[in-house]
Amino acid sequence: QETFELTFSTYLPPTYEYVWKPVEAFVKTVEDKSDGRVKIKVFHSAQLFDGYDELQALSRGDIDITNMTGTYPSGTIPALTLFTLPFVFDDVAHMERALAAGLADQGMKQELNDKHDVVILGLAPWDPYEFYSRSTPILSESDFVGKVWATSGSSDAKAIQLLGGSPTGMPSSELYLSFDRGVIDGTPRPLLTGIGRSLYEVAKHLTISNFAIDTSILAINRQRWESLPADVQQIMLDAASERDRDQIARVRSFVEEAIAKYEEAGVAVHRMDAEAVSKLRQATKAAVDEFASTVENGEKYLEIIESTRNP
Amino acid sequence: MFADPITIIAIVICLFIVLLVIGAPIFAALGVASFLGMYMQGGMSALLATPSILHRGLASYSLIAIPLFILMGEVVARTDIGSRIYTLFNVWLNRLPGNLAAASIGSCALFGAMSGVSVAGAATIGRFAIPEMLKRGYDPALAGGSVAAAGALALLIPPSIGFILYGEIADLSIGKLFIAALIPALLVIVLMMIYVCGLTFLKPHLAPTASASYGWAEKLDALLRVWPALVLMVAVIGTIYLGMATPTEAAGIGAVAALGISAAQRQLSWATLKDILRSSALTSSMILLILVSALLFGYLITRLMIPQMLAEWIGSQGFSTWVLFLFILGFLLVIGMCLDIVSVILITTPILLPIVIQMGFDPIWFGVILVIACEMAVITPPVGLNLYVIKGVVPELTLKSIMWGAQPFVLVEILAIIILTIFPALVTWLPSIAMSR
Amino acid sequence: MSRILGTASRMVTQANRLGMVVAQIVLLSLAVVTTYGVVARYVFGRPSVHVFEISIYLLLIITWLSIGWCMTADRHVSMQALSSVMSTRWKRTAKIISMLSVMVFCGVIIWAGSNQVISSYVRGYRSATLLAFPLWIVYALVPIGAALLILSTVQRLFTSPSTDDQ
Ligand code: NA
Ligand code: NA
Repeated sequence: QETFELTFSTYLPPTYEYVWKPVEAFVKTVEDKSDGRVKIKVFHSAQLFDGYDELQALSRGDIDITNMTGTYPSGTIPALTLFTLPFVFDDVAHMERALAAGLADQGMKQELNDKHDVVILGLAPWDPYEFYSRSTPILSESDFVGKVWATSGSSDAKAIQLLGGSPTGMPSSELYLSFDRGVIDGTPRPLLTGIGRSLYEVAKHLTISNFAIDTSILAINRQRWESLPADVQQIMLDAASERDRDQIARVRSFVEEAIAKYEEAGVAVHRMDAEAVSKLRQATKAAVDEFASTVENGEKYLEIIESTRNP
Repeated sequence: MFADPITIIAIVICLFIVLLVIGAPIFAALGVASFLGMYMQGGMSALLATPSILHRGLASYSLIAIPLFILMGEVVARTDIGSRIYTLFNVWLNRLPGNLAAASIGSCALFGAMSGVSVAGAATIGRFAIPEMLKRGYDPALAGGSVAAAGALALLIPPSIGFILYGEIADLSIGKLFIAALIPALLVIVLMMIYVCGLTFLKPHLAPTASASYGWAEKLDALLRVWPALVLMVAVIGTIYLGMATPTEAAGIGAVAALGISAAQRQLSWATLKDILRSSALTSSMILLILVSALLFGYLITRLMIPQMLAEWIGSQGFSTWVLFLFILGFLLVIGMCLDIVSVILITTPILLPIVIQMGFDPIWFGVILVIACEMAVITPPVGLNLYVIKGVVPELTLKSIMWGAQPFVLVEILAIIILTIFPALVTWLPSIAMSR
Repeated sequence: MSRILGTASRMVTQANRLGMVVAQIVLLSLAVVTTYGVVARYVFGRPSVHVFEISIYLLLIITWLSIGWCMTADRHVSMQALSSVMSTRWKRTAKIISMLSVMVFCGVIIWAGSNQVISSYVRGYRSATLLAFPLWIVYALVPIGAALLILSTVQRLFTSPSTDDQ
């Protein structure tokens, strides 16, 4: 009986539990259900490739499976900038509904498959990007003005610009020292990143507003995928959906735990009300419009998001 | 092809050693040996990953500080900014045996508080400190070795890239790690100074002290003449601690300020500027090429899962806690011989941390031990980046003398680890009172 | 024949010298750009969005364009301790093998690097920033650097067999 040895690589360390545990379960399920025909070697913590290189390594076939974070390859696949567009998703549940309504099928899946030899197995949300700020709270539009913001991709940078802030691109590994030394005043990032990078020690304020929701894309190399027998493929697809569900459930409970952790660490947590959020949404609308007009099928993606806004 | 990992790694190490011995450049020895291993592991297509590994290793924000600090050091060395500092040390501390070596260690420590990158300190300080020591009759091994070793203090003294990496993988507070490192850093600095002063007290010919005794007028004059160095220090340290600049940006400010000062003092001709830029670019590309080639080796042993195998073997022997800990230290020392520090931390933390926690050790304490092990790693051959950095900035020194001069400092670091193991409170006490509120 | 070799050697020197001049200018620019980043933020209150990304590209240019000259100037570090006690004939052999190892290193990188440049171009890799910089340009520095290095190595192997005994 033919056996398959696959290599899984992620830049995230196991301490990023809500991403890691579902992936760990995925690996175990696939190995168990395939009766040992599939063996998956796991590399984490960027031991092989970091976040910026996962798409390329997967396309080349250096690794077989990865769990990409949407922003990293978003310069190459513009449709992925969707997940850091400002205020398009109300919350994680909204994104879940949009994904179920076929959000990823409007071209991004196809583009990854045709141009990059990448097959998407599953998509799950990160916890939303929230605003960390160093000394003054972010409560309304005027609080963005004149501040230096560390951004991670192009759409969050554009949104910050529209709000009157000065964006500066920065990987999350630089955040701690930059906050500590006052080089930046704020950053929009997920709560998980803030915990992983100890931002609760250097940022005094956290504003919950669901600025953007990034994705975890579980994906496999296309040639490798096609070399697998149909039953193994099915096992993987099932395990991947299970991973998606698992991650969504974990993200939900994580957010409240994380907020409690920030509060315990002495961070002032502010929750932006719907009215304030809608003002910010208005102010950053140009970023969304640009997405609609420049990205292929941009309108279609946004329509699906709009139509799934209410459960 | 597709041999088992142990065979592959054995062949790779043999080839690596042969290439080193016949005098191949370090980057080529590392690169070619790793290429062979990658080929044996995954065929030609496995080699297609290499440009990606080299590129990513280099395209990192914190590495930008390297050419900039080297540029600053080069300017300081070419003008009399550096020599004035050493005249000051010489005039004020001439009764202390090994005063200039001790002063160099102090300068490296100060530099370590500005930068998180070990090679930057060794390159900047070494570029002017070592020629000054040689000029005053210091033993080359002592001069080169002490700066190579003390340059690594940048890893232990906050800010440190080492702790930031470790903190994320180990899920620990970076702030606590920084604070925990303060007393151990002080300990290592003091031990290093005791070593150089003790050594030169016992063997005075290694470090002649100025026989003349200086009067207060000379002392005052020497003090007044170091102002350009003070301006530079304020420009770099000031901008970092006032929160105006990242350590990388501060390196740029330092380089620009050094150029500005030397121009203002009419010591910077067009030809000198070109020379300074050429030399700095060459030194940094030499260092960075070795750094990224070491990443290839790290990639290979990760893919072959060699560290896991070693750790599993160690774990399965049923050793008692302290024997196990000795094995872990030995493991770190061996791994550190062939890898750069980023790889050491990325590769060993996920493997060793669970074992160490199970043994009942404090993870913050282990982080400090791990970073001290990394300090050793940058001065142990064959892949000891700081050794090559010193060779790069002071080409007239032989690599052999730098290596021999640096190895006693490995023992100093081991002594520090022993002390911290006997008195773990030296690590854990400060974070417990600083963050108990 | 020797005239052709002479011409080829001069062209190699010119190519590497050009690389070096660019690296020198870029190094100075890097110092200025990082300083500007701080000034823009603190004096003008308008931090540049691109400084961070651009300075990384400048670092890549400096490194890859000067490694060739680094060989010409004999600044690449090696362990000479053992080869220095060998006989002259062994020394020559060792020298040739070590130069060959540099060529293998460069050969692999030129081959794999060009592959990466082509696939980055075809697949349209871009940086995930407002600049959305085409990455094939950045990746091209890797094989270019290796090409400069291999040229300089071949040149040293053929033109200066006597300088290694200094
Ligand atoms: Na430091
Ligand atoms: Na080493």
